Amino acid sequence: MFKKILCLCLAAALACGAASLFAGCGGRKVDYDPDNFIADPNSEQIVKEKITINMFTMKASIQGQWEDMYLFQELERRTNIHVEFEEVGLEDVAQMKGLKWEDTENPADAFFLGNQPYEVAQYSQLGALRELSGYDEYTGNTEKTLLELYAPNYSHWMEEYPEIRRVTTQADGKIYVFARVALNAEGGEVATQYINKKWIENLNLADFGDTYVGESGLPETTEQFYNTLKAFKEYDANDNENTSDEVPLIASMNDASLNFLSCAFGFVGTGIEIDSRETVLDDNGNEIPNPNYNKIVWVPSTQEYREYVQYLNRLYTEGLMHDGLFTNNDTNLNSLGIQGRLGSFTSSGAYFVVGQEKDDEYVALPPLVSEHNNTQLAYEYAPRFDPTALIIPKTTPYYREIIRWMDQLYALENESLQYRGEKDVHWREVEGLEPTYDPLRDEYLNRWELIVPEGMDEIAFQATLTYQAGLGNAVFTTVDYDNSGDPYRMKMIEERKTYYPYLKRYLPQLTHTAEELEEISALEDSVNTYMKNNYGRFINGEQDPFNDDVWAEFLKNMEKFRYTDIEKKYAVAYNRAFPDAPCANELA
Amino acid sequence: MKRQSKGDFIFQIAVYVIVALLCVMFLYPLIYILSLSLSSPEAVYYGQVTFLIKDFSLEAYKAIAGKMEIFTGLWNTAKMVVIGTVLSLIFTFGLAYALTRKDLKGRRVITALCVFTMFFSGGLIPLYVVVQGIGLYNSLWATILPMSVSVWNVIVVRTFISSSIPSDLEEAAKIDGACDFRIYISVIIPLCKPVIAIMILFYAVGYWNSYFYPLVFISPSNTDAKTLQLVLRDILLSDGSGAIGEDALQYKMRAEAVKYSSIVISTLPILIVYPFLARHLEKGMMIGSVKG
Repeated sequence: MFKKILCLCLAAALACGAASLFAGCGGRKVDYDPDNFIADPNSEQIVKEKITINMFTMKASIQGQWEDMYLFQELERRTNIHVEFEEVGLEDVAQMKGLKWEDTENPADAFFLGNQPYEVAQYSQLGALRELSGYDEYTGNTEKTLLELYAPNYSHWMEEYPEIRRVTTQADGKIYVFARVALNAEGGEVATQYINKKWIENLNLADFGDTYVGESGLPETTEQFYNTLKAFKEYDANDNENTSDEVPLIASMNDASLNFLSCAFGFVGTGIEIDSRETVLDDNGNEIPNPNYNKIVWVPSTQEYREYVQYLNRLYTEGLMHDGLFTNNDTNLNSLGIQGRLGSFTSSGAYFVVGQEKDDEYVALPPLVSEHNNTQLAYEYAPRFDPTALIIPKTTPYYREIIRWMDQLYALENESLQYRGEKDVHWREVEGLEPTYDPLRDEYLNRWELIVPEGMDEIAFQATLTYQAGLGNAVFTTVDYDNSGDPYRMKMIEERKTYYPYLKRYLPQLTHTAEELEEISALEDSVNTYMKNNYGRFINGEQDPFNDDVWAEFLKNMEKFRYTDIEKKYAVAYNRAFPDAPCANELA
Repeated sequence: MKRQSKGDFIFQIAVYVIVALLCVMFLYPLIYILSLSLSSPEAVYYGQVTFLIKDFSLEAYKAIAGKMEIFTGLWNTAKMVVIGTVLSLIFTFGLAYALTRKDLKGRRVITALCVFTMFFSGGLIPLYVVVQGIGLYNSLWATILPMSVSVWNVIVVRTFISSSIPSDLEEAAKIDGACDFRIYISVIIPLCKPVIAIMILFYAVGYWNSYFYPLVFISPSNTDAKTLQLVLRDILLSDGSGAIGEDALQYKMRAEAVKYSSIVISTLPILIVYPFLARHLEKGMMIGSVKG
């Protein structure tokens, strides 16, 4: 009897739960007036009567309410659209976004920034997203797509840069997402690998031929870098009469120093990547065509990767690399930096680590080459065209308004608003400094500075103007806005340019179906766990990367995790994106 | 007094050593954070503080004084703690007492249903849909009601009542003419004082530290309703990246130092309240452990 009652109760509880779930799936009812919309793209105003739109977005912790930002207030004044933002901290975006899709009381009319490829793939396949390459349902016009009709600025950039269309087109051939567009020559961000030039001079390393440094006065090959670090360790490089306080190289498992070193061996990362080197060196140092050119590979399966971990193993076991590789954080780094004990490290700017006084001791180290790799490479953090800027759920009736609103951000004349507000109100030009040339507008741009109110930080002030402050690049950028006159910052920007000619991403941006993504991530998760576990053990010497048997075992186990299938799946997506120039992988 | 044997003596020394070590282990982080918050931002940023204060400075506290959201957060959390704890006590003791009464029909089924929720739950999205469906979203209630009853605590209280309060007392009260409600209020509750103190501590600390429900059920744009833990997290995660201009380095330093002063500010109230409840805690831990 008791069991029967229990079962009945549980069944009732489950039924109630299910019913409430389904009850939540209904659509939203809004009184939408199609005639309120102004279709003319020449009119700044988008709607006749003011409307309110709900946008979900991610924010940096420095930012306050987005509604109070000058940029959005100005846009509201021009377009007559009030945007109510729901800003979620960067760390919680993924989870909160999932919940927002369930919100039926106050659903989002658009998701602004940070829309990941798998979200776009999944929601578009479920039919939950408005197709931007589709047609206006209110007018029934089937001659022009929504983007052509209502996003003239964005369409212009798509014409100019066909890659924007390529990276936003989903596997079904349709477009659902706006891309972030960075047209400034350098586009993506990099981290700088700094080396202590003063130490090299203190030890007169240039006097020993090419043992330590090349013609540039800095190490150019991995062997020279190794020898230099060794000299830093063995001698009193920082001239304080103590030969044992120098830390030749400091890195942590996740920082860009490791990317910097892997680049020297031919790959910018340790996952899936396309081999873009046209030539390599044979055992005698002769240049030969790269047999794997344009092939998508699982890097840990390559000979280059083995050479790379062997190199790291040497650095670590010989004490040339700080032994906190697995635990280091910024405080460790800064602490050693300010004491003048660092030989080489990675950072966005040396002065953040070593302080302003010692800043000029450090210079950017250009990409290294190694025994079999003669191509200089540098890791590019962010792509120039990133298909993440905005998606519109199908349930909102305001899609035309949102597309027109979004298009404002891609107007050349509005770009500066996204960085620094209004001229002579929020920023002013600085005389007496060399202007920079802007090829897109064909004009010289003066240096500038923000007019920061008394008692306020620059970044805090910038965060009252625009969403870009604290988040990185805006959705549309054509010039570098790092134009302030601060000498430390200018040095840092100049140093970054060292890497611009060599930038490479793992792969070009590819789009996949939701199923492909699911399979890829399942395969990658398992092989990655195995690979990462061994990566650390190869470096710290727990496993010997020089031992052929150990290495063969490592390769064999990775094969069991089907890394070749991952390569194939990426190759399929690659060939779909570049039908005229497919990759070199053999697809059975 | 009997003289201690050598073995006892060594044992006692060992106990003292272990307790002293534990003491250091627990105190070190507290003192370290306090030292960090009172040291100069520069010393904090460059990792020069190891234990004691380096270059005494109140700058980190000054920076916090300008952050109104901390005080808004404190106020919201205080409201949540007080209202939540009172409600939780009412629900927990009501349910626990009812479950001890042998004349309650279906007692075992209700207990089984309660225990069931300890092991299985619908997951986040159904909970979110329910909270929103009954109109709690974006209100203080959404952060209190879903966590107002902890089945674990109900079981502790139920065990306490059934093991420490003889049912003869209830019968005596009944003979004196007390109704059920009177028995509960005038007999049971006064005898539950130790377990009430423990429940106040458990629930209050739970609400004070609660972070997930406020995060999920309060709209992110509703900054006036943010609780202290959410505000703190914002501050802790801000590392000054993206800082621009000449004061970028200073900004980064201050961002680092402010982290520690905010930890101190937010831990202080619980640290102050704790000693008054601590003596009950010891007793509470033993509740229900010995049946007899």
